[in-house]
This record gives sequence, C-alpha cells and structure tokens, in this order.
Amino acid sequence: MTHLDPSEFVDLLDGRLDVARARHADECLECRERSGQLRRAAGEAAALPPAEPSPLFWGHLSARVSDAIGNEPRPSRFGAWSLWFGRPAFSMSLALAVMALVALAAVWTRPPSEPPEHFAAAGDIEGPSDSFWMDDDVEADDAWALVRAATDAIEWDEAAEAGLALRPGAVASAVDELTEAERNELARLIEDEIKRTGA
Amino acid sequence: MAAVRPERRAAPHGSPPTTTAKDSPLLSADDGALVEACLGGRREAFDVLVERHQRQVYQLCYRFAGRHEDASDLAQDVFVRAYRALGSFRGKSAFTTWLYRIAVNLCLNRVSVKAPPLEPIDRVEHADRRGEPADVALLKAERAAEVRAAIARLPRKQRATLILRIYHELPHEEIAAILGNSVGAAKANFFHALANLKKLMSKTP
Repeated sequence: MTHLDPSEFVDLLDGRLDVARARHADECLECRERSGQLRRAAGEAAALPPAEPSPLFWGHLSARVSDAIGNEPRPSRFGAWSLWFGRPAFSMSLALAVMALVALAAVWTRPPSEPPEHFAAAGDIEGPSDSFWMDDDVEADDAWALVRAATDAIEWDEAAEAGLALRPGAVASAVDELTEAERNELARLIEDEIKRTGA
Repeated sequence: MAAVRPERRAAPHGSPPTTTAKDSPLLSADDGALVEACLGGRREAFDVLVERHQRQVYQLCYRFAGRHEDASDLAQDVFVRAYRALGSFRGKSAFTTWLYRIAVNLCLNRVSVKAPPLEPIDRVEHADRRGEPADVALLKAERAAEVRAAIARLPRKQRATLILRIYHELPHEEIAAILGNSVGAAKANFFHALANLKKLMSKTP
C-alpha cells in the first residue's frame, strides 16, 4: 500500500481519513512519524494566542472606517465600473467605461438578423410597436446628454489603442439599447465622479 | 486519530455594536440584507457589517502583520475596499468568504514575506501568564516569537492557508474559495505549510 499523499495527511489530521488509509497510517512507521511532525507543527502554530487589543479599540476602528468611507461615493451594482473612475486620466477612463458599457449592450441586445427568404412564408416577425419606442426618447434624455458631454472629448484612436475595437456606428446603435434606468444610473455614476474629482 | 484541536479561537462575532436603537432592524438583518440596504443608500448598514466582522478581520490582519498598528491599518483598508466593491457582492458565496478574500489579498500584497517587524517580546504576549514562573513565561514567549517568525517566512499561499485553517478554523472548501484554489490544492498548501513550518522551527537555535 502506498504512503499517504499530502491531501490524505490533512484528512488524517482532521480525523476524516477513511478507515483503510488510517490503518496504514497507524502501521507505517514513515507515515506515522510524518503525521506526528505535522500534528506537532499545527499544535505549535495553534498555541499562538490571538491579539487582544483594548476593548475601546473596536469602537475606534469602526469610527475610523466610517470616517474613511465618508467621502466615498455610494456603492452600486455598477460598482465594477467605478474602478475605472479612479484613474488619473479621468476623461479617457470614464469615456472608455461608457464605450465598453454601450458596446456590451450592443452585443447583448443585437437585433435579430434579417430572416432568410425561405422563412418568409412562416409569417413576419413582429417588431416593437411605435408606442414602445416613443416612451423612451433618448435624444431628449438628460442622462444621455450628460454621457454625451463626458464622452465628446474621446479620441477614437485612443479607444482602439486601449483595446476597445468598436465597429463604426456601434455606439450610436447601442445607445438605443440602454434602458432609461440604465442611462440614469450611468449618469449618476458620472455625476458622482465629477463631484469627487472636481473635473 | 484525534483531529487537530487548536487551543484558542477568535470570537465568532465582533464587539457589541454601537449603532443606535433606531437601527435595530439592521442589527438583526443577515449580511446579505445589510449589503442590499447599503446599496440602497443606508450607509449605516455598512457600519453594522463592520461591527459584526471587524474582530475576525483584525485578527486575520494581525496574523499576517504581526503588529497591532499595522493590523489596525490593514483592517481599516479591508473595510474601505469592501465598501467600494460592495456592488460586486452577488451573494453567490457567504459574505465572510468574500470579505476574507479581500482581506487575504490585501495582506498578501502589503505584508512582506521577509522577516516581519514583529512586536518585541515584552509586548507580544496577550495571554494571561500570571502564576507562571518568569523563566517559563519567557521561554514560552521566545518560542512563540520563533513560531510567528517561521509562519511569516512561509510562501504566500501556504501562509494564508495556514492562517485561515488554524486560526479561523475555516473548512478547506472555504479556504479554496477565498484563495481561488481547488480543494485539493488548499489541502496540499496546508500540508506543505505545516511541513515547512516544522523545518523552519527546527532550524532555530
């Protein structure tokens, strides 16, 4: 029977090794010595006491954390995007985040391609009614106006160098795919960042 | 064979919360609900999370840093980072797993793997040594310093695995989730951590 492998030694220390392998550990001098050494090392490590700061420390730590996050923008489910906002090149990083978001939206909600001709007999695919689009007028949206203002300075060559290879017209088409709630959230993030950086 | 039974554990919960009576619904909310409340604009919900988990986070940082001041700074930074990244917590893992992941990454990045600036022997002891002869207490303190120094010299993931397993009694599955390993790798790291610890301690005069 083979000696215990590392995982089995750990199971042995935890008392979870199966009976047959545990019997080997009892009978094999080498495995028994090794498990004894590991157990003693674990015991010495475990014997180190935890730090016990003053009872007043915990209130102080809580207060320090509260102060530290006092100036932080409110976290949101779009929090991952806020990582872009900490970059020194505010306009570039912010614009790249916006482009990435609209590019992703374009990919996720790409309109169906034109059906092949031989399916035409199955009936036309119903598109959205006029009333649906009229409820969401992007051009009149203040939130989108803010996004456009923030991204006006973007240089498309810089975006390509950063690895955001957008096809022509992708941003424009993707804008239509953001819901009003998504545009409002994006605008809020931009406003928070503007206030935070003073840009 | 008897399982490993570490002698002393950190308290399961943080110090008594200092939030006010009007926050009592928050005090009884679970971590996931507190995260949602904070994301919804109730910043005091994060205060409850801090109070609930600060002891564990501090102890983790102390095991890495070896000094109270450094551990205190690390713990603060852990919570600040957690606050910033709160929107990325989706509830797929336990909040503690997510928080520990932030803490371990921060500690591994900040704390040198070289000999750490451990606190002097006369400050390091936190256990009650009253009643022990002075020479015995001193020998124990010296040995404790040697063990701490040996742990500090372990490779990063072995060190992290040992700390999480021995001092926080986390199961290997959770350690694997925190460190981004497989369970098998977590167990192997623990094995090698103990083996290396034995070697390092046997080298000390």
